[in-house]
Amino acid sequence: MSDNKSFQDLFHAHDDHLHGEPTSFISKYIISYDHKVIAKQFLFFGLFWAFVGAFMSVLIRWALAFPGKAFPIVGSLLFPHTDGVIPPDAYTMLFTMHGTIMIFFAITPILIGTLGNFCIPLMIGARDMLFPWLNMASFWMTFAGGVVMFASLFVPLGASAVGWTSYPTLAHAQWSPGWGHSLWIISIFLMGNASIMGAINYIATIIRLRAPGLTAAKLPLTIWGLLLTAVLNALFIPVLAAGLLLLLMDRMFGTSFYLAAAISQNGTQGDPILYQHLFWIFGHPEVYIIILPAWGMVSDFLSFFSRKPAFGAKWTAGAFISITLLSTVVYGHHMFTTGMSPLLTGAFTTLTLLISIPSGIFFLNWLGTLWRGNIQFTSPMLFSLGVVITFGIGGLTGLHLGAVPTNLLLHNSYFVVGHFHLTMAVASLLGTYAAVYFWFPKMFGKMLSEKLAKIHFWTSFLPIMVIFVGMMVAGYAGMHRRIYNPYEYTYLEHLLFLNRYISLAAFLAFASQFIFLFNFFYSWKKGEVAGSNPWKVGTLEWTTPTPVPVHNFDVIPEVFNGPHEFSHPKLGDSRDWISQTEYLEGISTPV
Amino acid sequence: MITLASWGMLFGTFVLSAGLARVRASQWPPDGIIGLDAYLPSIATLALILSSVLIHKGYMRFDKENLKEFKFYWGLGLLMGVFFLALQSYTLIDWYSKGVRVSQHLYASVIYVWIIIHGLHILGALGGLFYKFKKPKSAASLQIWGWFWHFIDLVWLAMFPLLVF
Ligand code: HEM
Ligand SMILES: [Cu+2]
Repeated sequence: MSDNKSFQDLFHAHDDHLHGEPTSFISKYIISYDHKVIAKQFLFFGLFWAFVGAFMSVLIRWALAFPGKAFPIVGSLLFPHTDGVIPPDAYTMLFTMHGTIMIFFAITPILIGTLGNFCIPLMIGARDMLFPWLNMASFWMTFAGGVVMFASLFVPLGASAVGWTSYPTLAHAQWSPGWGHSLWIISIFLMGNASIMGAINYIATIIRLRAPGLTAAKLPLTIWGLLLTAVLNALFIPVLAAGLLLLLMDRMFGTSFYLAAAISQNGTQGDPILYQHLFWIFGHPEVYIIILPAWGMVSDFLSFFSRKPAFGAKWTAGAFISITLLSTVVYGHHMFTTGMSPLLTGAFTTLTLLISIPSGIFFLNWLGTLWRGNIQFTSPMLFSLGVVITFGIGGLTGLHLGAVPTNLLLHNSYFVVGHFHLTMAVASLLGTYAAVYFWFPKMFGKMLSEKLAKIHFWTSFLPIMVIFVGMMVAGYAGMHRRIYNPYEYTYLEHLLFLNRYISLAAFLAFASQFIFLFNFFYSWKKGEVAGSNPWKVGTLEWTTPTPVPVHNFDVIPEVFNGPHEFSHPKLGDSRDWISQTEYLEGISTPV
Repeated sequence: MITLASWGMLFGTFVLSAGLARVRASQWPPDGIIGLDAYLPSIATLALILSSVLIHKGYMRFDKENLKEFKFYWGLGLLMGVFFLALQSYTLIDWYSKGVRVSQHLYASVIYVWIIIHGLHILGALGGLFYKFKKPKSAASLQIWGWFWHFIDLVWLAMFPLLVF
């Protein structure tokens, strides 16, 4: 640990790093270098986009439930030419932008931007990120990406309408004319750069600024999740960036990297499938980029609120690591229908199914943590249990997609949509909520209302199950994804009932989010004042006073315990937890 | 290190796609297009290698606190880098003036786009090297820019045979 100490000195002993209170409004809230302020910037940015993305999903579901009917109230404002009916071209834009926004501008900023920024320095006992300037730049570049994406909604010919995967040939200028998709590419490029900058900062910070005594085994699993996410981000976003750059060249400068000879202007042979390879080399890691932080947090929360040590925590971390490694070599399972050789499909199936082994390990560890625990059904715990259930179901459906024979049937169907929403979208959304409910007291100094939180949970969770399990049923019945009016096909006519049911559940889930928003703003102003450690857990962030001072820790703490030492017999009857910084003979290991 | 790995993936992707395009093409350079002359890029490549060596020497001198020799080697390495960039630009401009356009053929697209993207990185790295030439603060920061320079040189060495021959 002496190594770490010297780094601490290197970066913290300097006066200029122990930054004082910023004085002006701008340096405090806008161009802030403080990781806690940047975390909040990401939070409000993400909340704005989450609202936009969620509203788009309501429009999509309206079109599927009531085809040809005008969208109530705001419909005629949004679609004046069709008297409020959602037209087909708008429909394609809606599902494209919904996916893009939710992945890159809602979940990523909140789960990685907000929680990564807030938790990493506080949970590892550092005064800030290693490179605060880079952190600030990362937010503002994300913001620039957001501005470009927002602008793309209003250009003539409309926003991008080629799906969040942006496949050529459709994504080329001849088939997607106008600025919409070009701006989409530029926006994702900016956002990607910002993510890489953030990721480099996260990795460097976690490696170098851990408090003395905070060994790998004592690191909260939240930090493990964020670290592995950052590694995947740093390695695979560049692949997407290169792929998209070539696509942009094709669109703007008439090159033909991704166009087959028959349709390219210069008659030379490019390759549309090359894009799919590049996209999924990034794309599969991306799904783990999004879920890993949520897994890590849930692993911690399950332990915190079962008042029990996390079962097999080292194995859980090990499972995360092996999943991260495996996730880099399975991307081919998104491309089974492109006519790859049977040798390759076989290899990709095998590797894909191998992921279930580490997944099974950490999942059993979750259940092991709960087993005979003293479970407290607080809001973070409820949402964490929601993650356990949705991820359980979603993960199992991945197996059907990972095996070639069933994949060929289910590919591009609503089964896939159900699968990835349960695993990636909902599991990470519920994980994000768990985290916001958990850390809100530290961030804003107030408690959120537990009562509203519970109503929010049940009115979100139950509809969500109906929505996405319903989608899998629809997909199994043969319904394609990205289809404007399924009922034009006679064999899908009978699915109208099911789709209405799903849509009603979706409207309910959407409405439920306003409970959260109300709770958020109301409690921020008027909530019960939170003490410095309302949940009675031992990780380092709860040793700081609330509100957290700019430099976090007056004295860099020394760490003696793991993050999950609950209900240890040595603790006696008066309490069931111990701070990571408290030395107690028989539990702690000296630094 | 992480940053370089990240950049490595970016250029790795480019090199891979170029390789694929090349393996698939029946003829490289294809008929009916003026091929890129290998003469100037080869000289440029030699200059780049030399530059890496000089920058490394400069860094070693700085480490030994020999500021004067540092300026000499580092500055010379910098000049070699500028020379490389000038030759590359000239090659492309010359090619363009012969009527070769980026959209004409995949062959031309690959060469233009790859050389320009690499060149932009060279430009950025030269900026950094120049800044360190003016204000060499710590050995660590010199080392970081040195690494980036060696990295971007290696990238060119991987691209060069694919693109030019
Ligand atoms: C054992 C676990 C998993 C397996 C075996 C698996 C397998 C698959 C397969 C084979 C597909 C392609 C389906 C097709 O298009 O034909 C797919 C799609 C997808 N999966 Fe998974 N998956 C697993 C877990 C996950 C997780 C954990 C996430 C996210 C966190 C995720 C997110 C996605 C997404 C986003 C797509 C669809 C992308 C698109 O086409 O738009 N999957 N999965
Ligand atoms: Cu995948």
